[in-house]
Amino acid sequence: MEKENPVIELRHIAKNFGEGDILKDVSLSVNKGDCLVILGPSGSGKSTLLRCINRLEHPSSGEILFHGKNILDRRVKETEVRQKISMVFQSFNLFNNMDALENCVIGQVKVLGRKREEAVKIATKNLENVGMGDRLHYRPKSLSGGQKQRVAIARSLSMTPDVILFDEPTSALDPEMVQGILDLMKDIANSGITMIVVTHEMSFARDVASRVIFMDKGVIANEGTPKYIFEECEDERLRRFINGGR
Amino acid sequence: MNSGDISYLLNNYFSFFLRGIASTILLSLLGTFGGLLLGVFLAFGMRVHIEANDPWYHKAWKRLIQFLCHAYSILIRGTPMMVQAMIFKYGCQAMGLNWNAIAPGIAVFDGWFYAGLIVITLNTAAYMGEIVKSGLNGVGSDQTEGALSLGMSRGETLFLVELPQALRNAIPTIGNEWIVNIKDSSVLNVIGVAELYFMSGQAANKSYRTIAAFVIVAVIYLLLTLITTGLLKLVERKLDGKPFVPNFFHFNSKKSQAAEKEAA
Repeated sequence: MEKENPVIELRHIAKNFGEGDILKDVSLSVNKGDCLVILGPSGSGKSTLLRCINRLEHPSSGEILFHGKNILDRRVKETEVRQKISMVFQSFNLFNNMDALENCVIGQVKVLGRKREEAVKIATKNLENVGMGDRLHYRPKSLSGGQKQRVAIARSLSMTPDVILFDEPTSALDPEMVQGILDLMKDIANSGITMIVVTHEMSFARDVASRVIFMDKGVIANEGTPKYIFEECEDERLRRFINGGR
Repeated sequence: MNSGDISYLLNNYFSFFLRGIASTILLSLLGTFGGLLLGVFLAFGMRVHIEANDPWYHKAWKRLIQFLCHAYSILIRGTPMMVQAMIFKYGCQAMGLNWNAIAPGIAVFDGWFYAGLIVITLNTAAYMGEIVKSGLNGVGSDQTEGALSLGMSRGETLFLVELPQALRNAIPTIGNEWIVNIKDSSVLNVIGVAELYFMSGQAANKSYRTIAAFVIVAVIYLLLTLITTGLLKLVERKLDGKPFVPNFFHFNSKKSQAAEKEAA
């Protein structure tokens, strides 16, 4: 397994906004088919790290290799990076001026250059897979939070990305909606898509992750298998976070 | 004034009012939508996106565009349209441009009409720029990031996601600008544009029935703005996907309530 080249490799990533350092020298790598879960208290830089990977934020220093190529290089177009590294947001970020189907179609047509009929077929299939087949023509404002997140996941899947980044996908949902989304993400992980997930859902990290990273104050404090992080690691800060955490 | 004056005017000078109405409607309609088109670009100019890692020469021209667009907006919105019209007309004359020679036109649509159309369009553009700008600012950053995260370019994000939502939200304000233009186009009479106010002034002078002429014109302006308001209400209902029930006086009739319930 180790001989495989990583899909994403971060080398010494740092990010500072004005005075404060949000990220300090973060390095990690993700292999194909991995489900990497990033845990950590609020303000530890998890989301910023994720946003750096698809260049919604620009790191102050360091390298991000995607299939071995540094995507922070000026010559690499961010639009090309983003169509292969998709993102699911905490607040869904669906387009309010389009229905569920069109949300999933527009990126395929405009960015990937797919034919419209083909895009509609792919979008419909994905929306059916996430359980939204009966809501194709609903606009986001008439969908519940859980339904919006399902559409957002279908939108990401429709772009057939190499990697999907999840930025706290269940944090804005009603408690009873959470498990459905987590089950869906588990199915996606099992289908072999590479995922990086920032979450506070310990059960997801324990059951689904292939590797877990614990971040604190802008650095990776601990990392390892779920078994190591949840049972074996002795670090007191981590123990406190997991036992007291949500 | 008595009712005899009004009927006298309507009998003998009806065509004056009619030509004035045609001119005013065209001025306000073309001025508003031409202004909206220019205003969209003005708004783009005011919020040109400067990336943190742009090289200095990109930053320089982007700043220049921002400055010019803001300056235009402040200059136009800070001075009366009447003054702008005079400066435009006599500025053109000083440069040897005579609008009646350039565009002779016919009847009320003579050269001064075209000059007035340019003035009202350029004036409206400044207001529309501010309207579209605040409309764009009102579209949340979540929409922008959602589009960017799919790999859309800045331009695609703007035209496919941000602008449609901004314009939809701005429709009431844009419509209001149209109504304002119906009334404010009257100041263009100072450069000889034969719009409704100008034409009724002519009718008043020729008939010596001044008060009656301006009462008629007040009623015409009121009707024009009421009809425009009603049309805009219909457009808004249509865009919200509500049924097409004419309801000009905004009373919730039982019929419209039932239709709304059915649609929901």
